[in-house]
Amino acid sequence: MIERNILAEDVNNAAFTATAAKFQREKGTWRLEGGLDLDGELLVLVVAPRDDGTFVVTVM
Amino acid sequence: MELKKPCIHCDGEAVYTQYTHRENVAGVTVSDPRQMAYVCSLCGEALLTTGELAGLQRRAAMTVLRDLPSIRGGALRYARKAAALRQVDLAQLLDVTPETISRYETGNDAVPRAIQVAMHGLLHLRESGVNLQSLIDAAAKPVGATELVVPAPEPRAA
Repeated sequence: MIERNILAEDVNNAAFTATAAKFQREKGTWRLEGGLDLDGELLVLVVAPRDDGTFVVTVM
Repeated sequence: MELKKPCIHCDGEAVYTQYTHRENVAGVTVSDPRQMAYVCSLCGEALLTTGELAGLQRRAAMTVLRDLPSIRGGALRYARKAAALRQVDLAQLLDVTPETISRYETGNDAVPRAIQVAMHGLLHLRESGVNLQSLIDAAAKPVGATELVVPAPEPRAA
């Protein structure tokens, strides 16, 4: 695996530019696909809603 | 009363407290001791929003650009991304080609001091709540305008 240096603004950009949101029923998470980081590379986000109303974002 | 919430990394409990954020800016560790955040008492991880983290990363980048006499390409790349700019955006703001920015970011030579100072200025503007896109858009306006309108105040960046 190639390590990438992802900053918070990369996550924001990937969320804004994502083209598909797929609900993963078994995990209870949303997978945001098609988004780009600030270098124009694909960055998939996995968003997990929590009971307290916040969301945990994982980059892939 | 102590503010607490469950940790997202482990089974521990995070407490709202003062903590020192440490950010790695292209090999330079920048400490920011002024922060308040939920910090897990078990694993020690801080729970931050993307907005909070973006602010910490902007300030870390500004510190490196301000305090080091010269920087390498990795630090410029970090600073550009901390300012939420693509290479093409930064190139337009600095009146150079995107290839020049790419060469600075990937090359082994020190980044020109003028670029370092300009990047610091852009981060400072972003931190002050200025939308850098408005500066990029200004480049497309006709030269020689004789009438301008003062814009409404912009919301501060998180």
